[in-house]
Amino acid sequence: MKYLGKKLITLIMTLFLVSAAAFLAFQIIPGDVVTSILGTEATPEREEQLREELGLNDPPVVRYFHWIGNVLRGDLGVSYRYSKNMTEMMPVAELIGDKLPVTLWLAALSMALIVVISIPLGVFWARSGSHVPDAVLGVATQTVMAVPSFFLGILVTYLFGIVLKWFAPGRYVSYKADFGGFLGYLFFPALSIALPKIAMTARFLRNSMLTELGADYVRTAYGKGCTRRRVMYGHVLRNALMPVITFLGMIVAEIMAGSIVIEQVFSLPGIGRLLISSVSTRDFPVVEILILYITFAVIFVYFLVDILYRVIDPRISEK
Amino acid sequence: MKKKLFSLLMAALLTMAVLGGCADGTGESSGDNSSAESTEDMASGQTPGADPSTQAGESPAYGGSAVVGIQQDIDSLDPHLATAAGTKEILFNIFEGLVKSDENGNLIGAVASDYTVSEDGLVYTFTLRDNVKFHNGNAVTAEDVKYSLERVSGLLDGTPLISALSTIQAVDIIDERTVQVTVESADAELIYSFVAAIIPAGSGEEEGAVPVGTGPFSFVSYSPQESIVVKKNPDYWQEGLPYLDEVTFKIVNSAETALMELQGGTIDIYPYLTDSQAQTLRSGNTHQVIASPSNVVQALFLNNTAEPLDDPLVRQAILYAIDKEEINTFVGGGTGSLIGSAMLPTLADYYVDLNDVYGTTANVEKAKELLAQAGYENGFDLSIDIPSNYEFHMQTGEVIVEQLKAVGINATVNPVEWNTWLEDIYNGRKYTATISGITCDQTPGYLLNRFQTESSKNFINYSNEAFDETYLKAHGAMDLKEKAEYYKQLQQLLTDDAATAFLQVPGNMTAISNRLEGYKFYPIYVQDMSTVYVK
Amino acid sequence: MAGHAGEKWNKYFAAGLFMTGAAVLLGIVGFFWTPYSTTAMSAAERFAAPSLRHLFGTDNFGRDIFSRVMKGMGTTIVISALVVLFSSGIGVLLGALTGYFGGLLDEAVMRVTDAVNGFPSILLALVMISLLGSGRQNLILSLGIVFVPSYVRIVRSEYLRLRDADYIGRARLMGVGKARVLFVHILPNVLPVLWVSLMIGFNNAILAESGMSYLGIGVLPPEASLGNMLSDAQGYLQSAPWYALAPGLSIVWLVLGFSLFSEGIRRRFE
Repeated sequence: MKYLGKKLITLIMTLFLVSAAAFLAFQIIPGDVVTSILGTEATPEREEQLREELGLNDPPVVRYFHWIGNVLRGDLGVSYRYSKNMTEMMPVAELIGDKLPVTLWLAALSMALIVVISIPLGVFWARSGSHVPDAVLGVATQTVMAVPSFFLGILVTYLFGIVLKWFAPGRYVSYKADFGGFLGYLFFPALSIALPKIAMTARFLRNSMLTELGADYVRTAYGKGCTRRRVMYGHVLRNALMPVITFLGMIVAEIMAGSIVIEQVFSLPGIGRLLISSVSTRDFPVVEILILYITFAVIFVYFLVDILYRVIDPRISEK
Repeated sequence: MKKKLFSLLMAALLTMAVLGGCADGTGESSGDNSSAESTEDMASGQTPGADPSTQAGESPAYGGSAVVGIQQDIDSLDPHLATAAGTKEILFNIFEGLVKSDENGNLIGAVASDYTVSEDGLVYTFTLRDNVKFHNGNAVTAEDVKYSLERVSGLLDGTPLISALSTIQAVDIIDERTVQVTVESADAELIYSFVAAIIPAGSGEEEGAVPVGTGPFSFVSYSPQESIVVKKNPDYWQEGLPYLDEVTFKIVNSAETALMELQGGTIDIYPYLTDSQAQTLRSGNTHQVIASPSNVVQALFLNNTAEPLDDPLVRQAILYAIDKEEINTFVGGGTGSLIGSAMLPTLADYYVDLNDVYGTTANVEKAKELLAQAGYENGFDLSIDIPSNYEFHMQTGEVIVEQLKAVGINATVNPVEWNTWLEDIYNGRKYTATISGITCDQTPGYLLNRFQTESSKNFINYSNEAFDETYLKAHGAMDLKEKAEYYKQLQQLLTDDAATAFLQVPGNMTAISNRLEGYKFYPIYVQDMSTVYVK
Repeated sequence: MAGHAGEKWNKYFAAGLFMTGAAVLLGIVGFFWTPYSTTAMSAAERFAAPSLRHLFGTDNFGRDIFSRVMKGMGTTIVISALVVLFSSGIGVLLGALTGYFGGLLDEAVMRVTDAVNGFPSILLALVMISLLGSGRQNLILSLGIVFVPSYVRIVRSEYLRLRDADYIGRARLMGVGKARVLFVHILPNVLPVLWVSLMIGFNNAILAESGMSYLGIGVLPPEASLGNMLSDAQGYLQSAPWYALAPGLSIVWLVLGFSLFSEGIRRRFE
């Protein structure tokens, strides 16, 4: 309980610091929001009116506290750029709420692929004492790890999209319209994210298992007459998975924060792309909340990993 | 056989597009003639549904839907607040003004069936068309027109939303169907600004949960960064239109994915193909690819007060050094129209061809000679700032850098973000040279008034008394012939002073799925979906 | 197991050395000489497929892709090397100070590192670039800052471990100055660990640089970089697939070569 409280305080402190730093940093970015919104053809009166509307005439510190106060009350503000209809601007919460499922499902699908493929692969690899599979896997994983995700995305598009025609590149289906089609389209971007991570995780697990296999307790277990299977899955894998979980946690955090590049390659309307476009159009209310979300997501995932650790290995909490 | 038919059809459509361009000038004249107090029903010449494709023997079918790829997200659903060309092209389907443009660049009556202008050019009298209904089912009243015009002109709350219309002094309701507008000063081109949308009275502040207009399609939904969906307006005043039940404008963020989406069938129409994409698509036989002139004047803008470009000799040298034909080949696939001054060739009555003054290909000798004369035998360094989000301008920059290298000018491309470009270059004028485009929304004066010494849009810092005087004469001229003559003189002055290196009017390459028919090309930046139908 | 421990010329080392060497050589040569000009355009030779004349074919401006890959490879290597140099330099300094002295500075630096570390590197670099503005120096600076924490952590933990070692205690007793202890006595012992993270850091820098250039926020055209070539090429994937393959495979070659090389070195020392 005490641990949880401490973590919570750190989380709030970090969020506060990050939000203040980001808010103030964006004050010095060149480019006037008002010109950017209205373009070159607007009248000066209209520009002044908008400046007043957006509260841009107040000093930055005042605006920060005003903004953070609103956020704490659950009002995330409205976008500078996107309008909801004729009179209202798009609330940031709605805007992000719309994109978030895309990124989260992409993360979930990639994660599923990574776990389902990399763990059996790693175990198989660790168990294959022979030279051939070991060498093949060694070279294959090294190579896959060297492919940058955007090039992998392009290759997947070319191979499965253009040559084999297994999917229509760019044919993104909204999750609201057709959930099955949405997941079907998401499979290929998820594959592009997952492949290098599968290679990394499999390597990691294999090394971790080899280390464990050399440990004293394994010999003891064999000595006690445990079967190979029991030693392998009951002890070695269980222990070897510990560092892998941390590693997977890092990956989840990374994908949840938006795989900008993959979203770009496959033109997925996720939060990574929203962040890029919001930064370039100076849509600060959106950028601010996105940065808060990403910080929160990352810290939260690490926190979950921490908890998971304690569940698997109760010794940690005793320390 | 099929292929032959296809190319024949394409040729026919191409001709249509070109004719459309030529007819443009005459269209302007008829619009201006009406200022001489005669009343004419502008809609009478308009036979609804009589688009070119119907004459091909097939009768247009009703129903179905289409998806149009657009390049950027819209900036506002409020037609009076929307400033981006990319937004206006969509809103064209939802909103209409008292008048609207047709595919030949003429004005036709929309919410108004006709209008008259007083002899002194200060009073406009609009007669409202009967049976025009808003998408919410209410009939358009004189109140709505008064409200809309007062809103855009700033009479409502002191904030003009469309600068050209801030000249409006009063909007008076004469009777149920007649509205009279009084303006501050006479301007023969002002009528083009009455395309400003008519919206229900009071909707700007309270009602607008959903944008309501009078256009052929009504608003359904909008998801930022994804799409905007509109559906058929069954009460549309042009009988028989539109054909489609639903149109989706889908945002295609990168040009790269557009091609794939076209081939995948997720978008049916895409108006901004690059040259290579056009080639790929043509070979596929699934789409028509049609080139039409755009309404953008692309130029290498030269800051007339920045060293060394403040020397006319240096500017002339640059103009001689540039090979416009090569730029057109590399960047536009040969679809652009080369220009020597600031006017669209499609505005034929006002355009004067000045390509010969500096030539359309490079004259390296002449350029070097002029540079030597100016004291720059060894050339100089030139940084060209280009908004990095415009690939077309960026690529043009790459070509120009190579061409300037040949005459000894060491040019470099400096990519800047669009916001920075607006602030530092367009508004701040802190630059030496930049590549960009001016989008002309119809009136020829728009392309020229920015070069007056005191104009706030004169970001090249051009200054020539003769130009300023001539512009004032042109502005005051109510006779069209006279006005055109002045405009031609203005173009000549810009060219003689080598004010800026005007390059081309890039072509628009539009892909249209073979399943659709009836797409119309406009000399202005709009996507009119009302005449499109499924084959 | 493939490659015996301590083997001097293991397969990884040989393959890595060859691949990295070839890439670096091409990149260096590219700064001084390329078969064709990297900027000269030719309308007649647009989209030529790979041939003996143009090894990797030509692009939309008729420019020789092989020459541009050479130049781009050089650009990528130099930027990545500078990023590694910058971030490891600051990382070592901060890591040494915080690890050795601890205290308030340690606490502050670790808080900041934790916050930065959680952030995906490209996201952070994107925010930095929009603050600093685009351009080569700013790209190096932002990537450099983004990668600092990874070095701070490793160096700090090494210093934490070594500061209580016997030989350090003796050196201190003998009156050796603090700076000397930090950088002459301890640093050499940190090098083996640092070496590995420099290698990983270099690969990460290559991936980050090309990723950012791909997104249009790194090296911008007309300057050739593997990332921005790939982004241009994506539009011509169907009509000219070689245009995308050449820069893409070059990145793979570079990264793979370097990771084999570092794996080889690791095995040599094992």
